[in-house]
Amino acid sequence: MAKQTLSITGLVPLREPTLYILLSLAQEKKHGYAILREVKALSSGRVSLSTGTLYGALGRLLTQGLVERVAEEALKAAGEDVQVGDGVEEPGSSRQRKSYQLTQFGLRVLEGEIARMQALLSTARRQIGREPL
Amino acid sequence: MNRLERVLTGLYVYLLRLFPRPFRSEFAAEMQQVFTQTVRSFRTAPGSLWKRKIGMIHLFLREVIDLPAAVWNALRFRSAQAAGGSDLPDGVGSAYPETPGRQGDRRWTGEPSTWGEALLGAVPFILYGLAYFVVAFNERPGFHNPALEVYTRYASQAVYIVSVVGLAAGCVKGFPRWSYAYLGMVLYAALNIFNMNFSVIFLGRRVWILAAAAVLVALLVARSLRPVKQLFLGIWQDWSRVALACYAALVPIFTVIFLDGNWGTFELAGLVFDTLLLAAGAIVFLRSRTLWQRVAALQAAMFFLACKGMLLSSWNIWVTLFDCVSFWGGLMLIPLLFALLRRGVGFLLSR
Repeated sequence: MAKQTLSITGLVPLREPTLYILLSLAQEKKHGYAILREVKALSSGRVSLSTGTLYGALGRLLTQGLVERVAEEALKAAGEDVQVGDGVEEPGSSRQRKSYQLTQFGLRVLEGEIARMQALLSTARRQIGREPL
Repeated sequence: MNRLERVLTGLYVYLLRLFPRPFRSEFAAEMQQVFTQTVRSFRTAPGSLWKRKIGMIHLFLREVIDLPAAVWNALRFRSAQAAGGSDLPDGVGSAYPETPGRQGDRRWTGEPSTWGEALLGAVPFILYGLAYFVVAFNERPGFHNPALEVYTRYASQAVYIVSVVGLAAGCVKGFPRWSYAYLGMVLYAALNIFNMNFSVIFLGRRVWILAAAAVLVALLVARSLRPVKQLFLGIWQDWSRVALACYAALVPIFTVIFLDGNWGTFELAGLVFDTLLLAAGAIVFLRSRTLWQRVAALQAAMFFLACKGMLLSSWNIWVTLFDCVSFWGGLMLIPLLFALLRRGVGFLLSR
């Protein structure tokens, strides 16, 4: 289990789009279009990714081992449920579609980032005289 | 509405071509799929037809606005990977199979250069041929014109300067395969082989100082010593690069040997042939996928060069020719031996 030895040092803090992409994958695997929609929903419409930004980030996350790609066909064969967005798609296109899921290492990085943000938030609240929620 | 969808999707396909090839081959199909799906989602969006059309155009414009940053990130991240992926945690591989992730050595060495890179690698040979053509034209028996000597000097200097600039550019880019042709050509001049090169007329024996200064500037531009590491890493991963450098450093001398004191009707035509052959050898080398193909490309170019030399030369130069072919041909095979040795050691260690 080589990935258990990986360090999250240097990977956090995450940029906002990257954080939202990881958050969108936290609960279930998704394909590109579903990630775009989820990021927009999670950020209440504030972060709207272009495909270039999304796939640039996904390429980096794949290389860093934070997410992994799963062919949708394989998922269907395994009988797993995959979110396919609003159902508007080209006939036969699902054959080429690939989904992304968070790896254990990606989950650790996400948790590390959340812990960092929590610590930052606590410090900030203490400094301005308000108790942490 | 469908027409606007088609137009925007068609334009988007053109935008995708601006991304680097490895990125494109990995993600372009998915990106197009997602863009098409997003555009189609406007069909069922609330609001008037015009509002939905404007929404589609807005979506496309956002892609255009984000494009420079996205392309830059794709290029920058690919460069970081090509540098050995030192930014990545240990054990993490490459998302792009063509680039040298820590587990992607074989794909790296097997990936042929693009046509653009191959032509770039052939430039020093073509320039060398042109420069030598200018020199040879003015040296023809019964023609010598002292007024043209200045041009012959400029031509030789231009080849050297272009080679130095190419070497510096290659250094900044992390010494891709094509840059080894420039490295070889610079070595050809700097080593002063047989006293038959540019150093005779340009900076003398200190000609290498210009190349060293150019590499230093390139390292300052790169703000890292990483290109030096990439030079040696590139050779370690793909020993045929040394063969290309040897080819650029040694084989052009053939053209000089055949011409020297051996004038006839077809010499200038033969020089054009030599130039095209040398450039073709480099292009086939850079476009080849396997080590064997690359070495064969260089050896074949040298073989045909020798055959042409035999056809146009008198028999008494054949001995010299045989010596040259066997010596330089053998020299260019040494990298192949290193590559085989490396593979053999790798095979034994993997058992």
